[in-house]
Amino acid sequence: MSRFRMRTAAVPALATAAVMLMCSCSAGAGSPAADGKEDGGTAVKSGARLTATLGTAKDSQGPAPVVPGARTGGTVKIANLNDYSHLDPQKIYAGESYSTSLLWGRQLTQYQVVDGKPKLVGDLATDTGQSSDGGRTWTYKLKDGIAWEDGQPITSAHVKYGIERTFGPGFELGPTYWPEWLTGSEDRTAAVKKYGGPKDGDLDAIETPDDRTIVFHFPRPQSDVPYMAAQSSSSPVRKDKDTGTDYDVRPFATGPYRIAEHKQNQSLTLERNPRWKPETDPIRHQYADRFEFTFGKKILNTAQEVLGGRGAGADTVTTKNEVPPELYAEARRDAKKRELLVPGSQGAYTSDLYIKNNRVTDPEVRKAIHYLFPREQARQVLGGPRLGDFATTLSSPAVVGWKKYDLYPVAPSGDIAKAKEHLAKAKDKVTTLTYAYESDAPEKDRLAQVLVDAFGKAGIKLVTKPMDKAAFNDQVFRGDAPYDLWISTNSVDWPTPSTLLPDSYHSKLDALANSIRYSNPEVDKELERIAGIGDAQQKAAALIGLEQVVMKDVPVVPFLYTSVTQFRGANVGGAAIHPIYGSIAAVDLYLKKS
Amino acid sequence: MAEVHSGGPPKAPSRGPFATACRAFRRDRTGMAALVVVALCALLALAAPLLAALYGKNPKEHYGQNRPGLLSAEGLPVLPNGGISGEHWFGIEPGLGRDVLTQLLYGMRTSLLVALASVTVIAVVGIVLGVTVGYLSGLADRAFTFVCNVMLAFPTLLLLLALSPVIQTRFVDPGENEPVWMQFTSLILVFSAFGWVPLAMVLRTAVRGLRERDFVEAARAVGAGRRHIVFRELLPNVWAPVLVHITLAVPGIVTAEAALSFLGVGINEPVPDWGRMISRGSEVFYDDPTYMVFPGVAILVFVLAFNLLGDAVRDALDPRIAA
Amino acid sequence: MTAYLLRRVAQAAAVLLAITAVAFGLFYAAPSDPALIACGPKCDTAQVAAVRHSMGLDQPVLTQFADYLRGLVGGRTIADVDGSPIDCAAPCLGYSYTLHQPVLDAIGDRFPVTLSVAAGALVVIVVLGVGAGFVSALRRGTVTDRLLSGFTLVGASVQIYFLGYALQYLLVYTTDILPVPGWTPFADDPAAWAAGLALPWLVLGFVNAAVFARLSRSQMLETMHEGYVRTARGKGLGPLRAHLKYTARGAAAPLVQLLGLEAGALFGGAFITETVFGLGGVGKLAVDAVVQNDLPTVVGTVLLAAFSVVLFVALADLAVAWLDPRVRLA
Repeated sequence: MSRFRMRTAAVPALATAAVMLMCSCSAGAGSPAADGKEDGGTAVKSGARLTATLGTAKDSQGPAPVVPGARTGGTVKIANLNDYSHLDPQKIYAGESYSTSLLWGRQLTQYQVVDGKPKLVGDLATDTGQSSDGGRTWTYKLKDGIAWEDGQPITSAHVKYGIERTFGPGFELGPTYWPEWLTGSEDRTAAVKKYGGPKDGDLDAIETPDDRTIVFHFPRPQSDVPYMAAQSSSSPVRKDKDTGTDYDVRPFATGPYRIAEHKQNQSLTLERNPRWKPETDPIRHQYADRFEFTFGKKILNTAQEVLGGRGAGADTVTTKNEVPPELYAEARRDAKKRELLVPGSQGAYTSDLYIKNNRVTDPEVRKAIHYLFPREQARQVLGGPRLGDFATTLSSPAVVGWKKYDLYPVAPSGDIAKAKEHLAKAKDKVTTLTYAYESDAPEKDRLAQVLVDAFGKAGIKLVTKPMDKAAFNDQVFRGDAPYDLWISTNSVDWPTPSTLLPDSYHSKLDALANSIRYSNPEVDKELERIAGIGDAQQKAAALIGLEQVVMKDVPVVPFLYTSVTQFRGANVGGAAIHPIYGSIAAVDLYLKKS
Repeated sequence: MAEVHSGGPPKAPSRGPFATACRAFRRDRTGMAALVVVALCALLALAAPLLAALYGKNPKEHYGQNRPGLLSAEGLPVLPNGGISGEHWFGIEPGLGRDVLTQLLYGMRTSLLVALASVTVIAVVGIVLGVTVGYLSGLADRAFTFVCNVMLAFPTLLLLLALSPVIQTRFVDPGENEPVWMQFTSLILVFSAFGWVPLAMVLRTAVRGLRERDFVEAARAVGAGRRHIVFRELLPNVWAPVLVHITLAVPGIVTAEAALSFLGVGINEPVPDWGRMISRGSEVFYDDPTYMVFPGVAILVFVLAFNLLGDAVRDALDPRIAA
Repeated sequence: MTAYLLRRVAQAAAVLLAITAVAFGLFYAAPSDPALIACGPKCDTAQVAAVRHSMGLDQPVLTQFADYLRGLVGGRTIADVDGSPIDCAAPCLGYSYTLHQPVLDAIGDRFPVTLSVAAGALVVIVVLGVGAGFVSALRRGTVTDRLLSGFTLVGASVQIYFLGYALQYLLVYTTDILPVPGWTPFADDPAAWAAGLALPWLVLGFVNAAVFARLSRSQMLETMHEGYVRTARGKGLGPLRAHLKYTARGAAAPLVQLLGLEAGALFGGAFITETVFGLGGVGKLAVDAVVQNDLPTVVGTVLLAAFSVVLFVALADLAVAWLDPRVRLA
């Protein structure tokens, strides 16, 4: 057999290599931006973070304020990497899904955003709710003219049925507040023993004296019902349309759009809901004819089309994904592309370094971690200032009543000398700590290396534990949880402090809630006292006051008030990061030209 | 990869077959050049610590993060062309700011170590199984063919992808870093588990051909045992296909290892790895294309050299060409 | 011939059964618990146990495997996370709790992408590979031969991901010659379909063409000197016609076999190519499933890939028998 020979093979190979080397000349990040307007900093200053106020009954009346420049017609294309894992309103439990589901779903209350300022107003209800009996009873009146997509009116029984569903099996995924509050239970498991969902018949704690009135009776005072009433769990569901698991794929609409077709993991098409009346709705518009969601396309490719205006890019936007890091720096340099970036603070999300307090028991060691934590380097390796501003407080500036404090000031790059001082004061010498992380993205591996470096400088060997998502959830939150540190990004469930300390820092809570195993008897006592306060403002003030007591113990190390940078096509109007939900609000989108 | 080699035993030569092959090989200029490149790679990998010390950098330190002025706040090199400077000859890694040149050198150690170790295991397993089955035939042969068919139909890359984390997470204590040797061992085992198949199949065919030949018959006639026949008569005559196979297997494993790292499994941080460098390069591809070029071209040259070497070895060992 | 066919089918079935067993065993031995993923981070231990039970994960592996095989043949009913039944018709490859759909549907949704990528790439492979090989053989020893040979060697040595990104940078990002790679259904817009897949085709084709070029060149050179071709030329047939009529046909058998292997691999999903270009085909599905520990999908895609290889290798064998009279007679 004659063999293949190539004496000259090296020539094309070298040529290829040479061409590649030539093409690879690139400008450094130090070169000035084309238009010289590089501001280089974060797009979102903490000052721009606004807290939600409560609106009046008048604010709750429709129609929503007209958006200047908005046009009617056309199809807004939304290209997200992944489909929604849940559309069932009582299963939705994530900021962006809340925001997007406003297109077809309505709740008792909702946030109206005008000029970026959120205000909680009545949505299906005429106002944000009337409380009596020291916060034990809350009454809502439904508006006139609200209807389902088949024209039937929405009644108080539908709202009640929706909330009853949250008790049922399979609805553990959603928020647990309704079951806990309505039964006066510590957790959902205890609550569902008293009432197990619609299969157990009527829930006595919710009264519907007539079709338009709904009255909640709570065993204990509740101050945050208006905010809970805005959650997706507070959406009405009609018994005759409740298709069980299929409802998770195609819910029945009450909002300005209805689901025309949902091909799972491929597309979701919305069309106008003719039964929706703008005069009943203070929040939503119906500018575009259709919304077409597509799933599965790589975000890098979507972003190239959108930022470059190729193909259908001009009419396209993403609500779930951020500008890929690959394109970010270039988009900031190019004035045209920079206009298409949509930066904003990510609701009330904060990112923190969590410390397992029952493993790292000595506060001096936790203080040392606070000082050595390389915030600057960590943020740099994750992508830089666009990720958010450095945090010094436990709660986000987006929370009602937030006050800035900085108990242990430290330079963003960390202070190794100070950390060593505190380590020297520790009763037991700490030489090794473990850091667990979800290794779903390579930058997480690099972040781990940054931490290893910083801990190493302070004389601590940091053991890194990459895990897949399931293992992470299982091993960090359940069972023995043999890890000391992890970084997590979390948000309160609504912009008051009520779901922060009471839901995570009471020593009686289980490891899923109080994942750091924080335990301070004084804090417990104070939390129990605060739980009895029925007035929202007093409660918020007390909790904000307590936060500094907690943070004196350094149970966690604040890292970032997180920001996001998303992108929109040149023809897409109304794209802004929702101040509560932290992503582009689909419900505000329209096409500039159709 | 499964190149069926039809080279039979060398014809009764006046000089030794090895000497003939060497002479043929030496006349092959491309082959010699490839050998030089391969040898150079091996040398660079061996001498990496020495070179790094002379150059004054190491692959683990985060230069860009600890020295101001090298990386921007977003983590991109401040200097053009990936931060190439007199200090960092090949630039610095975006994000962590490690030195690219030392990463490349140490990355070659990773690639070569995995490849050479796997090839050794593959050669041993492949020879033992291939020669044995070729000699035994019958039921063993049928079972062997079936197993080979199953192995060959498996989507290897997907399996490697799925298996590496399984092996890695099984045996590590929660309070310890995953030992580097364990990462290497699991990779090597996974590559070996699939790599022996083509070699064993080639050898089986070769041995079956030899079995009926005069010199084996003769040995059998004079009452030589099985052991003697396998080790003394058969084995010495199949080293040519083995040599060709393992030379060509090295670049195959290097690329497979890089592909695994590219897809996110394989050797973990902070051990330098070419595949991971390329993967990182693909993330910063539009702002810092330089970073991807170094590992990309390094793998290209490395694999090209090994492929050329493999061709040259095959040509030199093929009696019809070497004549 | 019928007996031969039957034996082949039986062999293929045995191979597939073995692969199913091995894949099932390997992945269900994985340390990760799919019930945890299905249930979500807020589940407590009791809920996880309930989900594990409704997913059947508390059964012995052998029982699970038997259920799986039964479903494959006759379909079965699978329990959802909350215990409600999901109907999964034969051939049932299981139900993905991550994607919330039967695995077969998930594969079916993505198969058009894989099919398009594979078919286009095969065309490029054959045209480029066999073309280069034949030209090389006909012009043996010339500069053309050497350049082509060198070029294909680079193809054999370059990495798909490296070349993919480099070409995307050059052809899409800096020069705008091609659109951003992506998937448009053929029925929607054939031009956009082809344009979006052009780069993957090119890269896959170039990288895989090398083996074909080498093989077709050596096959050509070998058959060129065989008796019947020389006879044909001696009878006055022109060189080109002689080569096309006899040499190509004679050289085709090993090429067809190689093509069968290649097609089998491609139709099972091009993992790296789909990842590099962000195409949502079966390959991407498989890689994602591995990353997300979506075991039913992993096993399903492994089976599909194996089935594809077995099928195309068998087809290639049949084609060879048809092409080469020597094989048929033997």
